[in-house]
Amino acid sequence: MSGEPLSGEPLSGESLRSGPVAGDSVPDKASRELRAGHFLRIGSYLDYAILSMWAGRRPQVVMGMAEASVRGYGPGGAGGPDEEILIRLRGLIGEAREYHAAGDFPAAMARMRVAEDLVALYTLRICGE
Amino acid sequence: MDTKKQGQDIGALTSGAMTGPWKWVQRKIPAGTQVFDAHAHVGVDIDGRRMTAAGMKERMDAANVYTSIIFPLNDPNARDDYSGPNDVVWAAHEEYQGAFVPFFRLNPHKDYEAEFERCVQRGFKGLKLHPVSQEFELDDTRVARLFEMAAAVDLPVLVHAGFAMERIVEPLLPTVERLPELRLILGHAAMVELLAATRAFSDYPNVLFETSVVKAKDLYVLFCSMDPARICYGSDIPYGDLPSTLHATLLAADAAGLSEKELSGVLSGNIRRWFP
Repeated sequence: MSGEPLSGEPLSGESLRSGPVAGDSVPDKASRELRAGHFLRIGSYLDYAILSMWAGRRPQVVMGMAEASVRGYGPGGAGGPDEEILIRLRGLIGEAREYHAAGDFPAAMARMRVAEDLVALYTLRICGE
Repeated sequence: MDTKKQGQDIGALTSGAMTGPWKWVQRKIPAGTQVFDAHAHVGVDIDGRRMTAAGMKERMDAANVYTSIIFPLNDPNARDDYSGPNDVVWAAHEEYQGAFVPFFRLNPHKDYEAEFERCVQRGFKGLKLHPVSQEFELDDTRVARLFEMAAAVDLPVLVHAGFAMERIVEPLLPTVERLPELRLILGHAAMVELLAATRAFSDYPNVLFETSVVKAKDLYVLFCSMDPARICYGSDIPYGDLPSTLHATLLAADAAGLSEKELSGVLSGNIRRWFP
């Protein structure tokens, strides 16, 4: 896999949604395993959220968990290698929650699918680095 | 919220945070590729979802998709023979000439001979079977007979092989071995049995794997395990949508290192061989 963004235009680094929070403590250097583990966590919350949306069981709550899982710096910290995709995920999941709340299920589901797919393939890429 | 509601605005699928992924999708589609969606529905479903021919065409136009295979949903008005929902699909085909490839749907539990004959005579291009919705196993004798009837008239069959399926390869393999000429599309790429299916069916070139609403990580395994010439893109509208399913397919294909020629085949050429 290449080192380019998985999909989408390169980002400016500005957070589209709530980004890192005050008090974030980050290690200087994150191992590949730690980074992969962080994205495996995010992927599992996205999975929960998508299932919850289909089932109609507390979807806003579980989508909120997915949204929370992408807050803050990744294991590599502010200058780490994962910040661009985290910014992208905050945008997708945040908008998905808004569309869902507004009653547009297809627009919400499309964003959640793209977010989950990006996380999965990004995790594979980390494993191959 | 009502999960069955259609989006008020198709543009919402490609704007905001979807702008970047959608631009990437458009860049990745090889030049000259006329995207062919091998799995979409028109009609009404028992679960409340619906899609009109006009709505489907509008979505295709917005996403630059040229052709779609369409067939009925699990229609509450299907009664015994599915003739009503099949007529809706045929009407869509007639109204939008060239846009849709019409498949008909049957319930193997009911008398299906007359509707099978009627649809073949009318010019339908394929048959859709859904083991979960119609509650049958793929090795049921009535289903095996339908496969024989389809093979006899060279009619492709698309089988739901996705969500809620537990047995795919083992019940299907005897039919594929017995009828190697049968043209079979595994809807949703055999999902839970994806890897087993690539092994079981690799020597049967008339079995295609269709990608609709399959996660990119599953599709990555598919692209790494099966000849890309045996894979075709699908959306599963109204359960899926064109932008996010194209994104999943292209993301996985990109990660698996498919060439532009292979990618063009997945998006168009592989299924177009059957429906030129």
